[in-house]
Amino acid sequence: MKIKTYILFTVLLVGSPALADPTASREYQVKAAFLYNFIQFVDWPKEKMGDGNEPIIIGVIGKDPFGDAFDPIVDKEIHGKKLLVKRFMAFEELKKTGEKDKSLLDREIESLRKCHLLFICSSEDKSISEILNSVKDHSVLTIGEVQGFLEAGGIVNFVMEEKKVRFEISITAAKGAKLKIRSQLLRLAKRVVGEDSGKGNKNG
Amino acid sequence: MDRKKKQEKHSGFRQMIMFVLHNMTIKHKLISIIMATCIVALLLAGTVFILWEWSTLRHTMAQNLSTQAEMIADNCKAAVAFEDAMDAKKTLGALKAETSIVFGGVYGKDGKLFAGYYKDNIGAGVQPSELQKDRYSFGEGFLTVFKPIVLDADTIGTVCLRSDLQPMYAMLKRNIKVIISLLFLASMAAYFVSSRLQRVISGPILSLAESAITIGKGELDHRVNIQSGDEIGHLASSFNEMTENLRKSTTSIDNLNREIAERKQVEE
Repeated sequence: MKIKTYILFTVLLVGSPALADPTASREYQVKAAFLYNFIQFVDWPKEKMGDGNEPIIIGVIGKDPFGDAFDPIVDKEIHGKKLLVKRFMAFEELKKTGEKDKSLLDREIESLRKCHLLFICSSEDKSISEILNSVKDHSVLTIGEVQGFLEAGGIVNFVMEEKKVRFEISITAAKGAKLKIRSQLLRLAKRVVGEDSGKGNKNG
Repeated sequence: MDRKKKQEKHSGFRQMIMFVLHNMTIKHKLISIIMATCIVALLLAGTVFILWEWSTLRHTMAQNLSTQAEMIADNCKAAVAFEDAMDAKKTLGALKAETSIVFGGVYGKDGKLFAGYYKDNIGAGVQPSELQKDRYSFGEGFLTVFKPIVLDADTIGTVCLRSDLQPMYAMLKRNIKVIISLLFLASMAAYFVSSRLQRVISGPILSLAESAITIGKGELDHRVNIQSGDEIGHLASSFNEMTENLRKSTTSIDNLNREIAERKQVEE
């Protein structure tokens, strides 16, 4: 009897990771929807957007917390362009593979630069500056979810406020990336850092 | 029994009208005809105008409210997309400027109220019971307008605005009062003008009637002096001819009678 219980236990424990991507938590469903909506209120420079049918790329680097949260979005189009979600391995791992094969590292970094949005997962906490540096000057909307993300040079940072997903925006970083953020979006930000910092900290 | 009484009343009424009409002078008949015509024309014009204005007013009101709803929808796109109810409420707060709007609501994709504006804190009673698509409707004393909130061809919510119809009714009432006053003024002017102009017809007729009386008394030398080229003028000439003939035949008869009297005298 006991052996059977142990076997059952082990199977369950081992079996779990084999399950497909777990249903994303409500938090990341909302964050995924927000990532999609950001595109509506941010203007990229013409060169980045292109005229043809190149898709808009949402990059996710690090330990992906989204699961299937992007499913409702992948079939949608914005401004007539399709959406593409690209996942990248953690930056540390990238560097390690780069030591063995430099061209692979270069290609991955090129891919990172091609993204319109780049979501930097909390797992990449230590590598934030390096990641931001590598996509600098390529008009990538960098989004994070750790404290100090804006100060490190990121553009948008997710913040949880009483179970609600809010965000803060750095206009300085946006300007540096040649991105224009619409005022409708700016006024929803919990905190705005940059030239308009007469606003400073906003409540609610 | 009742029907008989009604018939009696009706015929009594009719008799009274017949009596009045029968005994009206030409002058009064003419004035009455002209006044009746004017008043009917004015009433018709006034009614049509009021109806047209009411219809235009409704249409304009609906258009204005629809435009406002669209503007609100555009301004709270981001708030709905990023689930910021406070910001949507702030946007709705701008409706305070339009005093006739009693309710403004932003609804999410699920049809639930996301943020609301109530004039003077009226309370949820003014909310519409169910959401509708892009349209407007008059009912329950309100004008209700629905507009979808669209983000890149995707409907993410709905805006509903409700407006009180009182201001519109007040304006209509004011206009009706003005038109009625105008009606009175115009009628008085019509009376004034018609009582002058009716002399064109009644003058000659009265003169003819007076001449008839004079001639009837025996003054066969009296002639009617009406020069107009219309039927009354012709009537006057015929009248004069008739009088002339009467005078001639009377004169002949007189002459004959005198001759007979003279011959009798000679024979005696």
